[in-house]
Amino acid sequence: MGADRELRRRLRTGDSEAFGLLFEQEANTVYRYCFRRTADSALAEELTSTVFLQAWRRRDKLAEVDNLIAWLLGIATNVVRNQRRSLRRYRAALARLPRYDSSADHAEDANARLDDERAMRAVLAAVDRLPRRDQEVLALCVWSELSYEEATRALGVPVGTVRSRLARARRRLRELAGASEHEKVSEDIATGEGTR
Amino acid sequence: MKTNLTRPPAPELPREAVLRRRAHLVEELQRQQRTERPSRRPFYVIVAALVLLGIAAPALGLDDRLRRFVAGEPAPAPVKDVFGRQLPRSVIVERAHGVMSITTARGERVLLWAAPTRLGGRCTFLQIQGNQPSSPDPNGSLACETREGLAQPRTGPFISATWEEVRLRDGTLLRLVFGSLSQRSRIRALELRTQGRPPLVLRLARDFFLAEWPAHTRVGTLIGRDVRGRVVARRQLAPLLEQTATPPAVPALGRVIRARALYGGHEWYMFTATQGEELCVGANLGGPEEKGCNARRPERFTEGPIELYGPGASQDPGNTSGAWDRVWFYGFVAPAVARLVLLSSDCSREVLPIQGHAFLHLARGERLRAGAVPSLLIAYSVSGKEIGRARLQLIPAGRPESEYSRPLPPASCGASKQPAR
Repeated sequence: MGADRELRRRLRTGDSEAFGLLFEQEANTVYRYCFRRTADSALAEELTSTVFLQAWRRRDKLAEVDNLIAWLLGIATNVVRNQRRSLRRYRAALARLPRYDSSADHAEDANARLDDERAMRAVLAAVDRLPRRDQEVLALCVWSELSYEEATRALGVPVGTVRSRLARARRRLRELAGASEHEKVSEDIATGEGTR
Repeated sequence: MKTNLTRPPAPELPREAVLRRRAHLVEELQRQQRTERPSRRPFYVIVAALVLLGIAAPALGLDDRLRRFVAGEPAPAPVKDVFGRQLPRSVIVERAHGVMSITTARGERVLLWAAPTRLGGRCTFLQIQGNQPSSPDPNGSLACETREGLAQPRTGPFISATWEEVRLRDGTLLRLVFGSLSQRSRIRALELRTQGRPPLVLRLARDFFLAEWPAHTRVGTLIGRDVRGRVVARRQLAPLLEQTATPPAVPALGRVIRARALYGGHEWYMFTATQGEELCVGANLGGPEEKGCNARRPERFTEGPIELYGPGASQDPGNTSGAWDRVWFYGFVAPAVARLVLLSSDCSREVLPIQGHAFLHLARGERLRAGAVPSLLIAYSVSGKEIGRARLQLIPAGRPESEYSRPLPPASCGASKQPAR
């Protein structure tokens, strides 16, 4: 906990090496979130970098942040929501960053990535029937396993709102699951499995 | 395959990719730190200053400079010259300005210039740079819209558009689509849909657009969409001409001087040149060079072995006599023609040079005033046999327009005789 406090102190002072460390620790958390919202690994990688560039820009807000992951995923939520604008804003910086060279992947890795994208597209197709705000709560509370309180900080809405949105998402998915193949899974969500 | 909504895929970036990206990210952050802007206040100050300048400029006599700044790049002198010489006099030449430019896939630069007219209309000039650099005149096409055309009542946004085909020096065809929008504020995006190609989103510059036409398509529709993506304007374009599958091999356009003389201290000359399937004819009569290219008709020589264009004639200011100061004509002869003779009204004969089946002649004022008016062209074969004639129907200078249908009578000087070699 002390190390985390020290990291936040360094981040607040604009220590770029500390941001590098934060990136190393949390890049995959943010990447997974972005991937699950877009089903596109290349785009998710760009969005991940964008999230950290945005976080750097907002580092003066860190004094009010008590959970770095919730803070980063809150930024990621906005970045995904406004992805065109965000990517445009950081276009020059992103162009200077190296891309992950997927062509260097082994065939197995490439196949796995394509499988992941295909599976994620199917998930998003099902979830797409929910309102966007409910999707965000689902992605944070169920997929990224944030608590209600953490999701509250990430989204900047009251905890009651998070609860009601999640409940609505569960109910809606249960309804949609009726005759679909998602029935069992939707029930998992409905019973709160996967939610802290 | 079952879709698990609670536990979707959880891919990870490879460790080495994260580390590499971390290093670059830190570098980028340090770079940003060095160039970071402490405050946005200067930005707001500049915006406020610009607003104030907009209000105060007319009072300070700066409105013209400000207008130029806002309205776009002022047109250079050669472009203004084109506006001034080739368009109605109502065009306000000094307000000709650049609207937008593109670079084609092959690297040609195309510029769109516009100038308002005193009557509330607008003229545009589409300039293709680099097509004919030897010519001092910009090369391109001109079009005007009247005030009525621009302001006619519309029920909604309207797309005014056309396409342009330009044969380049190497024989390839450059195809462009350009135009303007009315009620621009209601059209957020404009796209060109063509057969079998993905929609092409066109860049908009104020009310204008300009783009290269997608290859291998002839039919297209322009679609304007509002901020919500709804179609609010549609324009079907006339199909483009069939493209020649393989353009013929063409030599670079070269100036071929056919006639030259000094007049008032200036050299004046005329030339012809072929460019792809087009015949270009240019003239410089002591002023700016004028040049135009026309498609060569495939049905050539249907009326004989001489294909004649002209004659043209002009008089200088102050010359009120019945004589022209210069007369010119040009054309092509069939391959069977070995010799071309010009017979003038004073019965003089002159062998005209033929180059690449093309001929051009410019008769000078002193010869004209002496009564040697070009009258008849006679074509001879290699064996010296006359194989065709073409009459030069020149109208005497100063004759009223109502008498234009009565050209000068042809000379009758025993034209069937062989010319002196």
